[in-house]
Amino acid sequence: MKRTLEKLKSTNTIVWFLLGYVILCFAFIPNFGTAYNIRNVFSQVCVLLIVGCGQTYAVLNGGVDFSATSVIALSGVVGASIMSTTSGLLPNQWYSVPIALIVMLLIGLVFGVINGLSIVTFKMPSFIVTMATQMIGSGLALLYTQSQTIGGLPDSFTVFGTKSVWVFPYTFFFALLIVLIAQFILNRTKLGRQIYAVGNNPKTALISGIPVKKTIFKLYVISGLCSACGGIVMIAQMESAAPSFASNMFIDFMSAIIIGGTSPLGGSGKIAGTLMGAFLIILINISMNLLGVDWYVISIIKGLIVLLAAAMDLAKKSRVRA
Amino acid sequence: MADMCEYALRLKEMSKSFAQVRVLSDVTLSLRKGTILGLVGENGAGKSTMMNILGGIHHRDTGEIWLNDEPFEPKDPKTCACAGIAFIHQELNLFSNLTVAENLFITDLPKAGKSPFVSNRKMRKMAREKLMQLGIDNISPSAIVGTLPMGQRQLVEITKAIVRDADIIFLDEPTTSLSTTEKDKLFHIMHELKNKGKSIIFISHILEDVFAHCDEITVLRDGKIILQKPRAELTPAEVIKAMVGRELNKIYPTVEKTIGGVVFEANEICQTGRFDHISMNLREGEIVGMFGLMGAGRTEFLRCLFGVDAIDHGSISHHGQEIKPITPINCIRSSMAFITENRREEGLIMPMTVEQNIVVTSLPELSHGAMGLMDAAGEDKMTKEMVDELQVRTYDPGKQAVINLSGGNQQKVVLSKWVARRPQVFLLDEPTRGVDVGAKYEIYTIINELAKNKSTILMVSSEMEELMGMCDRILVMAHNRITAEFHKGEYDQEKIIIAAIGGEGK
Repeated sequence: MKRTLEKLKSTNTIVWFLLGYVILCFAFIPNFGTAYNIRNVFSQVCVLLIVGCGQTYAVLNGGVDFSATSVIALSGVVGASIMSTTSGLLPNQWYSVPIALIVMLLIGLVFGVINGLSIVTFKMPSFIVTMATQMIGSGLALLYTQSQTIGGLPDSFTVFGTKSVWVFPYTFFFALLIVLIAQFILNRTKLGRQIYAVGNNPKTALISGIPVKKTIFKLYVISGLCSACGGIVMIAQMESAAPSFASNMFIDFMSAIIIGGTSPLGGSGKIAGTLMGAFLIILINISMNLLGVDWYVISIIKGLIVLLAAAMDLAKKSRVRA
Repeated sequence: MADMCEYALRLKEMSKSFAQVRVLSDVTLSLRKGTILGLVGENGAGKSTMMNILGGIHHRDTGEIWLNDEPFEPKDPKTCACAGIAFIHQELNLFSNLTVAENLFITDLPKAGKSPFVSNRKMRKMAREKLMQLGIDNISPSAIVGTLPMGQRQLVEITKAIVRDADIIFLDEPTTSLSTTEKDKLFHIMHELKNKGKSIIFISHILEDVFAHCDEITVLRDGKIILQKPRAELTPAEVIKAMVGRELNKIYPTVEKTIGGVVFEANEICQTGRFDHISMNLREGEIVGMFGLMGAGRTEFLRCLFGVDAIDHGSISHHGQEIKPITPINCIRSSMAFITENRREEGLIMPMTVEQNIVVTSLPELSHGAMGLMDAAGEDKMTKEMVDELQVRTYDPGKQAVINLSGGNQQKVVLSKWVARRPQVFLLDEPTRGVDVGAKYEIYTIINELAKNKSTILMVSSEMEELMGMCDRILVMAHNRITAEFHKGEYDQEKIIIAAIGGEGK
């Protein structure tokens, strides 16, 4: 009994906030509880979750990966251009979808490697490197498509984005899998320990025999791969691809992470936090939409919540220190 | 009532604890106006806590503070600055990218007339005046602080206190990085300030300076004031006795051990601009001390041996096997360990737990498979073993962050994370810095145990007594060279000091 009580006390505020928000939504928003709407929540949260996991890795090192949005867009349009039945490079072949997926992941990998290498070998700040690769990526996506939308994706692929089991879309299971893997790596593997150590104190980590550069490099590779997975889910859900996809999502990625309690200074944070942060962001988007609130008001509300979350996190930390 | 304002500052029975550890207990102290009070005490005696309370950074638990015979509440740094208390710390509090003048007036930049714009000309003129008041004529107000030598920066810091019209000035170990002439200048200015009616608390380890310049001397030990007396009534021997509170020769534990053959060799280590062909070797079970004054290159030498800093030429070998290339990872694999002098920045990961800190050096051994799956039970076991063996006092190694441990326990965690790997060569850089006397003794015992178990220890320290008490051999370093070597039995403080200053020790 005492132990459960302690556990309740130590549970992050975000859990209570999220629970409270869900209850309020069910109580006061008509149509919120419909299967259609719940399914919508689980569907919309997928990209945010997947890319948020990768981004959490970068933030754990006190960095950031701006290139995520353009990796989603670029891998999306390239993948779609390979598998499309109407305008694709390999239309109507049994192997077109697997090849498209592999190429998409490769794009994520290449961006991750470029980001990681530049950050590690040239000691450039991550925000500069990834900002540059973000610009390059989105430019390439536009160049590649001549700013056209690519449609006609094969049904065998779009099934993944459109079908669901009760209120849970297939993509949600995929997102959940990524979340679990990301969580597993951080909590249970050597790499996880190294990531926290390097994020907190790279000097101590180096002297303790941790391959600091390799660890940082891996973070950005993981982030790039997650972004490509986000691209896969996004084009499956939209049943098309366009170079503008995800272009305004970066703020939501970061918001989810900050609300989830991951310190932007690096070293502390959990995937579970990002999971809840992502749900809160999507819940706010959808509930406010149902209430007919304008998007700019939604933006103000989300901004205030991020500020509040950051302030609470700091307050908690200073209490621990004192 | 002329003595109404005899005292600039008085503390009455002030106490302070951090997480159940009493750092200051019933500290009572008085600083007369226009005098210099020498405050001495070992590392960890509570000097910095006392200053932090008077600086408004920490808050006292009990006790009274009187400023000019009025109760004073140091609630934040600003209140204290306004009340005329200035601190000059070892680590200077200057903006190295700004000019001297800008640093002096940073909180109240002089404006051109009634405009809101800063007048650089006026600022330089005012800065020059202030510097001249203290007889400092060789510092240009427009010099960038970062380009000045340490001694001059110290003088800028003191001038800053004058600009802010401070009445009580704390000087915390101000002379450690100064040359003799710079020191003389500083002491001259101290007396100048005193003659202007300012009150000074001078904190120093160097008793000679304290006796030469202070009117009264106070000794702080383990958070208590042991004595406060006018200088004339004291001798250095009395002060030393009050500082350590026990006979010096009892501090160092001894152990039965055998010293074997040479196991570790450093050959012709060169680093451009610093080391020029330095060689040395260490024997099995041997504790070798490395003495030198501040800036002699001892820390830098250890960093080269462990591959933290790169070398241009030279090699190191352990058991005849050359370690190549010299990187921390390779050194660790060759059974070496490096305890850095700065545990907060390079030894520990402060916000993480005791367990996370202990296992950090052993991650490859505690994980298996291609995934690098961590062995949680193994981590717990290793942690428990180390916490028991080195007697780290923590309520729960899996939960307590090392930032909440005392200095001595933090240092034991640093030792634990290395001892856990059972290495054979330990490089220890100031292993007892910032650690209280009791924990010091425990650390000495740990070091002796390591040597007994056939490990080899190279130990850098600034405390000569510590090395004389602990080591089988002492190497002296001066100006990036090893200038002398002494074997146990032929230790002589004077000879060691002469070698450390740079002369030949013979």
